[in-house]
Amino acid sequence: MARSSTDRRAGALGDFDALPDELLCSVLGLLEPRDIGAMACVSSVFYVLCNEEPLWMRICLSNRERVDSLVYKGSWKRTAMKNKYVCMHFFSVLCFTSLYLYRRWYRCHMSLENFFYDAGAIERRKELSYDVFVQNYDVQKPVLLTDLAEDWPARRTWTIDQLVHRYGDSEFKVSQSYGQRIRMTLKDYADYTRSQHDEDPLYIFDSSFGESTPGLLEDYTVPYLFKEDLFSVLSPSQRPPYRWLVIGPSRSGANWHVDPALTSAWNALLSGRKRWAFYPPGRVPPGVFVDVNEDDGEIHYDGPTSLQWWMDVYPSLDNDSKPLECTQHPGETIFVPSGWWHCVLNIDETVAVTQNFVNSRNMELVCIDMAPGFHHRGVARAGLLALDDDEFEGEHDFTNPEFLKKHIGPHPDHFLSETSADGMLNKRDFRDWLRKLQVERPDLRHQIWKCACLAIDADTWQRRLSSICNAHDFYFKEDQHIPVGHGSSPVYLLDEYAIKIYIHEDGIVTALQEIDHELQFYALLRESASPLAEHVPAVIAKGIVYEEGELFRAVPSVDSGEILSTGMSMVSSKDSRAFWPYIVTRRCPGQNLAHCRGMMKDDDYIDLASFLGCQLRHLHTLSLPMKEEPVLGMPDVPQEWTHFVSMLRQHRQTLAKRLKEWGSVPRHLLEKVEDYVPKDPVVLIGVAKVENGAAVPSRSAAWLHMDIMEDNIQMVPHASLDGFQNDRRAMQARYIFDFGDLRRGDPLYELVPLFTDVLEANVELLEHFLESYKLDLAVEGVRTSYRAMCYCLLYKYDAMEAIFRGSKELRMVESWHELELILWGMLNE
Amino acid sequence: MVKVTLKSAEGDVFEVDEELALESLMVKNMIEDVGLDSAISLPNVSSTILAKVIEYIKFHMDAQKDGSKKTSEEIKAFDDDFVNVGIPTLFEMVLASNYLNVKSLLSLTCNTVANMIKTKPPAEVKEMFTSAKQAKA
Repeated sequence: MARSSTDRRAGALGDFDALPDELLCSVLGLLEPRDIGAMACVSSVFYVLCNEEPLWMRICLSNRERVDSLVYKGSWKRTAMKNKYVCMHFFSVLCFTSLYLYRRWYRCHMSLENFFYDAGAIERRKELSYDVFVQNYDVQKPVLLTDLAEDWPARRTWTIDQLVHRYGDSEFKVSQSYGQRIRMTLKDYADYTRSQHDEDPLYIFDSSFGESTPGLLEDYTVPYLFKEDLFSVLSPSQRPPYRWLVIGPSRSGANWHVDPALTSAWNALLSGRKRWAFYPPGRVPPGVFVDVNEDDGEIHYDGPTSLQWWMDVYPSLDNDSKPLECTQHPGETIFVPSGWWHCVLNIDETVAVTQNFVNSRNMELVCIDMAPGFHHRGVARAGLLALDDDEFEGEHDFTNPEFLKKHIGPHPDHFLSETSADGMLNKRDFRDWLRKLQVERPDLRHQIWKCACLAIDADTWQRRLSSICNAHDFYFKEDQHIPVGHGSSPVYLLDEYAIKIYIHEDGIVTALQEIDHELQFYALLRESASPLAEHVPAVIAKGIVYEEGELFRAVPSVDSGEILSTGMSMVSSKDSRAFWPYIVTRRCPGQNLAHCRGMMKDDDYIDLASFLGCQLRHLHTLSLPMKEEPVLGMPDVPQEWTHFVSMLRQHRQTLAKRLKEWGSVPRHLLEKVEDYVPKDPVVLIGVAKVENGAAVPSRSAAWLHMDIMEDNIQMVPHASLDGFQNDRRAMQARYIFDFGDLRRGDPLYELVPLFTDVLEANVELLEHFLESYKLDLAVEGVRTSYRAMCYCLLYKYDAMEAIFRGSKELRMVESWHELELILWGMLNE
Repeated sequence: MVKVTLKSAEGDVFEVDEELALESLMVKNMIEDVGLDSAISLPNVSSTILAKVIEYIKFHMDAQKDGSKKTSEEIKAFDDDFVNVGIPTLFEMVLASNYLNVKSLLSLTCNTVANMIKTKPPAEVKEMFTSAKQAKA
């Protein structure tokens, strides 16, 4: 309304007048609090912009360095300034208007009390029988169930006031739009919700409330309609997050999305009202963008907050393009089927509990969504938008696994690719899951097999397996075999044999080298009469499986070197047939460490540490006359070290990027990592002197297993020498598997997977290991603990995750040096 | 390689690879909606600025390609040099990258503006931004 002569914007902003308010606000959001204070003094308009609460909210939430508890001080500006020197008196500025700021202010302050709507688009049912649910709703359409929570204690006790009374000092995870995860005590959170005026308020969204406040689990039961959850066969550490406590004030909510990996969900509301909107699978809501990453299938949803959507997008929709809507009242439970788009807005202060699940009816859908690739995931969510013009013909059912299967892409290499599970299940846990289901749910046999074929191409691999069994006259039962193993190569456990078929991310040549290495190692180990030989599996046969048209044919080899030479000549010849080398070993009794941790006693762990100490001493002192092709083009490093150093250098180059992607290192440590790890990691192997430009290490390279992880250790029931039962023992380590990655290098490197994976970062167990390992790990001139810490950071997998998992203290250390001494200090003694 | 024609505010025509044009989400949406047959008109972007934006995207696309020998130092040096322009031009680039929706360039230019402000007392900031017009409180 202001005439230009009285509008102070241009005069007060100078050159900045060129930028719209929205961009001015985002530039200010990049500043530190003291700079914002200074900017407020520049001119009247900057004064207004710098006193906006959304700006200070962003400053508070996007710059949090530590994951400690957040306490809100009545305003975001005050919270940011930690209560110091804050002038809360605000001068009003005339002759400056901003539609952008006004609309935002309006959204922050509007009352939603009358913003409910329900025209009955979602049916309300009570006393719904399981059969009717399965027949009419499951994997078909949403439904409101009015009576499921009637008898729960939570129905009466889950109000914010009562929960604060019981759990006021407990911390919960809070989600917020700037991404950083934060925690707040319930008391502080309740104070926050009642004094804030945020557009998108902080929202308690806690997946571990069951572990941190188990009392809450007593207050509700999983309704009979949703009892079946196939992820429950996984161990607690493998099982993806599945239940959330959800507490949020008016205006908070969840933006448009589809639940991860196409799982279904139920959400029971205990206090307040929630407005819901739905679109069926494959119909992207107006104003929302879906992006599927072509490399890893990761899904990204981009759209306004639910409040903004209802304010800005919804009113412009005609009746045909409006979503299905309902308002959920306290005591009601809503069912959200697989693949349905939904968005939620809290009308009042709400408390709810929600669980996601996989049952026998949506499991194929979930499995196909986990199959590597991206196109089928896009089709399941974006429907026609993800299809090419020539695919529009015919029926489209975006929740039909057979339909989605057609879009998986031409030749997904199921064994080499990670699952696309929205970070829920990695490929190793996924295979584990299918195998556990085979045991526990024989009634679902056919479905489980179908899932295995969809997601990991199990049928094709089984045909390769069957050709191997035929070639060696092994008894082979046509069954539904799902491979084990965490690597890329599938391993099959038959009654008497273990068969490993080799494939590798880097191609067939690497796979050939791997198998050749493993065979050479077993042969030489037996000749050397090392005690380690008793603890590795016995090789029975080996050979190559060839693809012959639609069939497979296995050809056994007699001589160890034959596989490599035959394979290499196949590669260099014009023969384009695919082939896979394999090894058959005698199946070792017992079970994998990964599968028997639940049974392990404390003394078993100590014994395991000592066993590994002893066996790795045997391995690291072996002098094997094995051939290893050096890496070319590294004149500055002695031949036997080239593989090791070249690997370290590669990992050093991508260090910061990899750590950032994995996301397990706290931000303040991440910033210091470049300075901590040496620029050229060759110094870590201990360089005694440099001669003619080449490093001369102070020790020779040892043979390393490279992959001492829980999957490669086989445990058997403990047998005491005198035959008496020992209550303190249950399992003992017996075998070490998988020598395919055998490389020469620094033995200290071997401790990284051993410590972080097998010993679960337990420093005491590391001490037991070292006691029986006995070899000297020190080199001249570099602190041993420093080398170990650097190797952790340069390891091929995320070793830091295990270290920081569950240890708040370790996350708080100031520097890498401090962490190094806590974890590895004993190595210096 | 498919080409896309972009038309600046002055009506100058820029022919670029489709791959490059798609880096602008705004252009990408335009292409999805109206196809490649006619030139994409960008009335909010001047020829000078459009040329700069294209230069920026091209450099970063090349730097990301496999086999690129560019180090992170070289990339940073390019970026620093790229935004080393007068304030009016810098603001035009902020506006253009916002309009064209090129996230990385928007972030680079906004951060440059923020860095110019950081740690300066109010009087100095005021002076910086009143080159052309007289600021009054």
